Amino acid sequence: MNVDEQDLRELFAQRSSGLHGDPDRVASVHRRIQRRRQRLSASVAGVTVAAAAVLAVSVVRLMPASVSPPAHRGTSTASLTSAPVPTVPRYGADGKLLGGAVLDGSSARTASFRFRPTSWQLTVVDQCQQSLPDDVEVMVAVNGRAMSWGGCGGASSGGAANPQQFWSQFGVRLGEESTVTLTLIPAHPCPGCTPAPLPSSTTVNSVVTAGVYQRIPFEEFPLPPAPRTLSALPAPPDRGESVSAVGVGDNVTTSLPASVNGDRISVTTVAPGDVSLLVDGVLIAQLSSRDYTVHSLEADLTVDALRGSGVEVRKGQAVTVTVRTQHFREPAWSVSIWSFDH
Amino acid sequence: MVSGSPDGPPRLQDADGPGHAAAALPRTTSWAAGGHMRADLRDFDEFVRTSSPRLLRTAYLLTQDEAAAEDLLQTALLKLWQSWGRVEGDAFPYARRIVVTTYVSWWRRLWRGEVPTGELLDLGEHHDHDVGSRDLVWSALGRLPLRQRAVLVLRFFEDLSERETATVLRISTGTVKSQTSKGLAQLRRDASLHPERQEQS
Repeated sequence: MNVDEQDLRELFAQRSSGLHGDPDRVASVHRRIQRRRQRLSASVAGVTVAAAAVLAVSVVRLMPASVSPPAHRGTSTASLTSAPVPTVPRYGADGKLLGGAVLDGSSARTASFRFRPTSWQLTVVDQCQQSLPDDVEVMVAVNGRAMSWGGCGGASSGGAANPQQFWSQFGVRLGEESTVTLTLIPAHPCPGCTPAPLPSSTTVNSVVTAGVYQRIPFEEFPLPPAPRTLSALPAPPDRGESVSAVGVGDNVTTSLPASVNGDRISVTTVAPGDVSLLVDGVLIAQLSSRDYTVHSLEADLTVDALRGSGVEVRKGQAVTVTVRTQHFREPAWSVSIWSFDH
Repeated sequence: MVSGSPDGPPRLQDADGPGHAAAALPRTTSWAAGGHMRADLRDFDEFVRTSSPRLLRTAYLLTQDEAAAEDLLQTALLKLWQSWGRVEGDAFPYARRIVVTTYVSWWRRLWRGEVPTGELLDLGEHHDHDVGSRDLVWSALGRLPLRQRAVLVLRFFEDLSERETATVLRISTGTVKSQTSKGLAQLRRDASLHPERQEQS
């Protein structure tokens, strides 16, 4: 049988026609994107994070809520009448709780708490005990300045490169008290405007917990028990699809060649530990895990992204990617550099 | 401590003053430079709504599986969203590029279920000849290397030129030519398109 271009054009048109304009299917994808993007977090400074869903989980994952309740300094406006009362985990992200609050949407629209940081390695995390309605989001403001809004499961940190710059824009100062306010707002606030109040008629039965965590030494973090076998790391790159790849290892520093032409760095961990990525000696991203789930991030080596991290480069320039890993007790990480220019 | 009331949120004090609430960041953004991304959030939603049908078609032609196509599209749009604030002009080509490169570069790692098309149709008398032939070609397409398949989809579904295809895949136009040629040749050679060969073997 002869197959020519026209055959393919007709085939592609015919095969894809059934999908075109299927509102249910598109709506389904849209809903999934909204949910996923609300859960994503980037602890990466100035780097385009290709949003593997597991990254979101990695950053926002908390220790089980069954750990002892935090010593809230803040008091929610919510009346916590239903049992069991959700608590803010004492440990989360890669740190220890500085302050937290519980917002019961059935009885309140806002809740606040205070925290007093002693370092810039901070992450504000929120989670929901029950999902928020589709038309409701939660906004996090620090010292009265909106930091983020979205669905449940958000986390914001200052990134690896310059967290002081990030937190300072919200008025946070070391040794001084700052206030975090959670507010339920209508979903999809208009661009460039302050979110409107949530109509009083809106019913919200969700409970949102939020806390600010300050990074602590790895040794002080209560790690979960190790599983009998670790999750699998990504398969080795296929021939012709990558420039180079680093295999698994424990605590090493290694350097890899790359170029600023859209190469993509992929990092995966399956056990507690830290992976730092440096480009020409400048820290651009860090992936910290404190459990045994699969965590990953991807960063694009582009001119804009690297300049945003303080690395002055030109398109096509050769750079050195340095990978530093810490605290791994077993082969539980991998870093790959992907290239599409060959 | 409580800065709002149950009936209304607090008045936000934007870093840049009233009317500049764009200083607020989307939930997923933790770096200062990303402030403009939130302001475009609704634009992004609109883009997703209007562009998803077309992108989904491309994703389906690449993956040959509806669920995989949805996953691929979702992954690609999430990536797009991460860089939405830096997208200038028409976002569709950029989104399409993400779909294709995601598919070519690492999609197969996430989508283990990718299999070449499944059953061949019985070309009995009840089947229209053209329809049956297309099914066979569709099956054969599923056996092509990912990059070749991507080149063919971009060239003959998206109607991109060789140069445009090269840009999307970040390969040379020469590679596009050779991959197109090899892909078509492979389809012509595929045993499933030549029942007589199968019988002989």
